[in-house]
Amino acid sequence: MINFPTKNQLLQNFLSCINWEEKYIYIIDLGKLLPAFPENMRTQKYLISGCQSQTWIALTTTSIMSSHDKSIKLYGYSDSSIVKGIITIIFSLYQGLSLQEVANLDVKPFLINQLQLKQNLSMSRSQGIHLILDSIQSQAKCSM
Amino acid sequence: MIIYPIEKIRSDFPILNRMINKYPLTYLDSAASAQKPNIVIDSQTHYYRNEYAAVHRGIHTLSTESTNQMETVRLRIANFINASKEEIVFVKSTTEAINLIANSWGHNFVNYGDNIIISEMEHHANIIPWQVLSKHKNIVLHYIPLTPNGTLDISRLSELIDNRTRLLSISHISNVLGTINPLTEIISIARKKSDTLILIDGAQGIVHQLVDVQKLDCDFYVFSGHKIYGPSGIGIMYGKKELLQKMPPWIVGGGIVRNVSLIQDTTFIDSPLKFESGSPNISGIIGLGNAIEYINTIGVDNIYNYEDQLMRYAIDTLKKIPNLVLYGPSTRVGIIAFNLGIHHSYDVGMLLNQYGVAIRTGHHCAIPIMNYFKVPGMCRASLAMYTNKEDIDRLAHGLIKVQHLLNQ
Repeated sequence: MINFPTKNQLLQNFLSCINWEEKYIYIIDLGKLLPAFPENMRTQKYLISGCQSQTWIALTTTSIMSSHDKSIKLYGYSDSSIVKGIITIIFSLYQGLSLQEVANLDVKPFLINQLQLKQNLSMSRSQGIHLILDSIQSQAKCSM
Repeated sequence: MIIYPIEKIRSDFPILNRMINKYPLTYLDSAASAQKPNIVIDSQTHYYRNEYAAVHRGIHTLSTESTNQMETVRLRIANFINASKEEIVFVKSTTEAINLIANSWGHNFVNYGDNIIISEMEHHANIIPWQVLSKHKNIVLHYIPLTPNGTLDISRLSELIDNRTRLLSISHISNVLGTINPLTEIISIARKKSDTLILIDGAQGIVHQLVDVQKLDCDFYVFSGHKIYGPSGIGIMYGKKELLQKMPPWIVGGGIVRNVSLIQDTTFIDSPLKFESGSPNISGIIGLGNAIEYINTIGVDNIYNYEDQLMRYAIDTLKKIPNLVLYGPSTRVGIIAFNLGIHHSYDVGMLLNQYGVAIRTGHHCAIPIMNYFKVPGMCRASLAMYTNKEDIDRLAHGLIKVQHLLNQ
């Protein structure tokens, strides 16, 4: 995930967008940073059911030496360019965190209040980006 | 030639004055739910302010007035589709109507060895109730297949139908492709080959075409109020009188009994009231009555001709957009399904919304059609009596801008 922007970079880039068109172009560009989704993970288990787009989210863990905690790796894919971009934003916020930290972190306030992605987050049950967040949270809790 | 009063009609729909994301609302999602004219909106407020009471039970003035209003609407709807008053059952939606038929008629008159025929273009409401019934009764569910141009392969109907076919349930107009099914031809094939019942899902049909259930010779015709400029939560099940009499009530309870005894059996009143247990959606019924009146004032034929011209304009306009793929036949009603090159319908819809253009995206509750065309979803723009050329132009301009954004 070394290519992902930091939280501050995200915020700065969003703030420098002069209109919504630029903001969406930036989101779509961010989606291009997502690494390829491992083919063997393209299964029902990782599919976000209810998403209008076909979206997969997978969380894997590795043990951190000399610690009880684990580090995480996130994989994501969507056939929607906008959703792909939002997945990148979400992954950026989780990068470098331990499993415990991921399970405890609520990224919604940042997405809604600072990046103002409210419209994308509060859509109907079939489109909600919150389904992606729920999936990451529940996969994190299952891995603990 | 009568000039279609589009400006007057648009002024009757107050929501069309709204701005969305600083753009004038371009509402092209009427196939999901149509907007409401003032007469429908005002009648509901008026009813709650001045006339509200329970129906069919009270002896006081308000109750009598409410009951009369409800029954007047029943007659108006019967006239609208050339049925009789006893053949009109108030339900909450097309979906509920189909479930009622599956659960009342289906559970009592379908047996092991029978079969039911639907089509590959049905929306889920006309698939799942029959799947559930088929499983429960261990009967076979056949479907008439789609063809690449989005019409049904009617030639297959003769092969599928036999003397054990109990029901042919098919949509009037496809809610994804806008295909008008040749009901007269389909019903005539079915009648020649078997004594099957025929159910027409009129969710999209009723709003765009004149419906005469007697001419059609269908056994059931079902539709929702909200798609025909009426309120949400009210729908109609038309059923032939003799058929409704034979069918037992499905949702049972108060308001539909002749006598209830804790020792002996309960006896029910006649149809259509035996299918309307509990308190009905009276304001919804009154609103639907006003919607029908509004349509009658404009004239179903006038609306049809206007929408037909507008559809031609829309298709010609959309065909000019590079990489836009249209789905469905060249002759279609009310609905245009398309995709914008490789771009996902969700992305297209989300971005169009930023320009104030409301379309529907996704699988439209008709996953089998998406599977047939091998796409995860489609964009759907749908027209109504209040849609104008500017709406189509805004859609086209929006799509060109969206394509530009997504191609970055």
